[in-house]
Amino acid sequence: MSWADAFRLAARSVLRRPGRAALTVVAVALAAALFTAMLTMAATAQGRVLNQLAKGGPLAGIQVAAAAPDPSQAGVDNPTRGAAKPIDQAAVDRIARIPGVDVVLPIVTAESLVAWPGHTATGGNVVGPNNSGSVVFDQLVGVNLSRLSDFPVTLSAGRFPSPGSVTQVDVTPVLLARYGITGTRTRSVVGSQIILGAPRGFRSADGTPVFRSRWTKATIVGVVTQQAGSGGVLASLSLVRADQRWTAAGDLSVDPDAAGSPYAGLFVIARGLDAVPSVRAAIEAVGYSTSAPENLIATVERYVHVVEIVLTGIGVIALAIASLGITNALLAAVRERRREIGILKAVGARDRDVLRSFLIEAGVMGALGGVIGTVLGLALARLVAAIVDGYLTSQGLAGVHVSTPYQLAVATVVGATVLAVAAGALPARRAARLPAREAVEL
Amino acid sequence: MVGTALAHRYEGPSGAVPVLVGATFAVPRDGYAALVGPSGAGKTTLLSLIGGLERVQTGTLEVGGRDVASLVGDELAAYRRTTVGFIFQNFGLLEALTASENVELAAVLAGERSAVRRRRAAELLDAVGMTPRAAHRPGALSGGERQRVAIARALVNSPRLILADEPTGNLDADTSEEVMQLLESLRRDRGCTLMVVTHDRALAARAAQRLVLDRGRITSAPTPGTGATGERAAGP
Repeated sequence: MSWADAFRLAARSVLRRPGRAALTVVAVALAAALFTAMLTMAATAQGRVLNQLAKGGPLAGIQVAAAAPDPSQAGVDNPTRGAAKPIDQAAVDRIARIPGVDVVLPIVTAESLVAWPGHTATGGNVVGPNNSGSVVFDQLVGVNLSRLSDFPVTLSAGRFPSPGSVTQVDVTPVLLARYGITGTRTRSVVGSQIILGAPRGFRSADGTPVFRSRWTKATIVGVVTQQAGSGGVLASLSLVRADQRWTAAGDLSVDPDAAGSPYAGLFVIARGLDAVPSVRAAIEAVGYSTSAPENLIATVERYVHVVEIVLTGIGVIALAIASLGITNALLAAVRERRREIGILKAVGARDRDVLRSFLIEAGVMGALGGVIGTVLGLALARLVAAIVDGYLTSQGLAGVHVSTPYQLAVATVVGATVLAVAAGALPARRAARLPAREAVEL
Repeated sequence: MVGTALAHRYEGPSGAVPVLVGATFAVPRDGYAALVGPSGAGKTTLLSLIGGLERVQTGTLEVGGRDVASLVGDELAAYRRTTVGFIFQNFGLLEALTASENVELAAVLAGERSAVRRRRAAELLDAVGMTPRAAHRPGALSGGERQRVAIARALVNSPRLILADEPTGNLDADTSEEVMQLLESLRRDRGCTLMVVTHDRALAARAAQRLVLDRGRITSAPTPGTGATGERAAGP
């Protein structure tokens, strides 16, 4: 008998007792759902925690500061920095050539005044252009917006500015807090217009130091928590560099900080977590202080791995119990179908034909339960994630994202099928050994 | 088909129970034999030995020159599949399959291609007058219809030997007559050997050869009279 014929025969036998088959499949499905949901939630939680540790950037991300390293802080995740040290293009090129470095992303900052028409800032004692509300001093942080996913930046409302745009910005909750906007209210600022002023120092005719700003309007398109640089406004590189150039063209005797480092910092992505320590050491050898949550991530990963092992164990036990249900159902089927098995043998079925038919029955129930359970489990994980997401965003925090773990889904279905076939082995063997005489005995 | 000194016993709770004690018989190729005897005489056991449902314990049994006692495992299954066609008193149809699928079953087990076995099943169902009921499951068929399907199934692999265990035991007189006529006609057309176990004297009288089994022995194999089929025994 071919596999296809054995499959057809097994399917007919399963369908002949739909109630029992359904209950058996439901048991497997519930176990598979539990297994999938637990591991999906564990993976989501792991991703969320690690993302939190990496501040939304890649786990192998290293922040390079425009400062010399402190030799006593080697290997520390967040070391204290040494003296300020500008990062020039030559330093960027040297760092890019370090083995294990995947990419080097520049971060530029520019001093800026922020005026928000209709809003009053705490401590804002300067009036903006055209009486547009009080002005606060802050910094623009410029990054390559087309590679935002590589930076330690997390979006909590709206969207990121379009790459290359000089009229769209994101703001941080820290800046908004200066205007008294906190919690869920931060979402309401998306779409508002702010005015950014790039200051330039010069001396008046009588030699008095004076600052004059070049004002540009920008639309807030999102709210982010960002660790790329110390500033309340995230914008494109071109916008920030233009402001940087404008400020640097002023009288440096009035504003000495205007001729600072061309790069406020760098964000270096190593080729995997394993490469982070060596890359950090090499960058520090070039002469710059680095920080990366490598030790914390390694510790968290170990704990999360333990949790995964425990949850996997629970899921496997649940599946094993459900598989015993398959053993029970098939043993009952063998008892009921002694005559039928005898008839099969009387018309020429070999022991292995009968064995194959019962194993397929077990496998079909396991696979069906596995598929249904995996879909249920993923749905359950998404439901839980949606509830958690709702809570987090209501608190003004970044939400969680559940990705579909295809490998886990496939592993669950395959695992449920294999366990079911193993559980069906005993009844299948018993059925295969029944004599053909059963056909005439009962 | 030659059985010599066949002995068979079953292990019961109070020890071994002998069922056959030296049964000896012979049925010629293309013969038609009725196996008769009182209940418990060992008729079904003898039929099971001949049909390969049970292994021979003592004695020798040859079917078509083949030593059935030496067959084991897959060889015995192949013997049941290709040499023997079994017809049961209780029809022996699988409830989960349609009439057509039941007929195909033996060909499925023989590894026949789908198209071949479908064609063969259709031909046999047509031969037993069951084409209109081919898609019905056994539960929707009458006793006579079920036995017709069982006959078709027994013939699907063109066996040389047909064994029928009380084929009319669950049928009324008219249906019994129809079924027996069908069986005898198919045997004639296909030129195979037919052995029928029966309690029915009239039915036994139709056979060319009558084997009387009593307390585990074939006590007589009298010269058959002229049966309804008009055949005579070719002799053992």
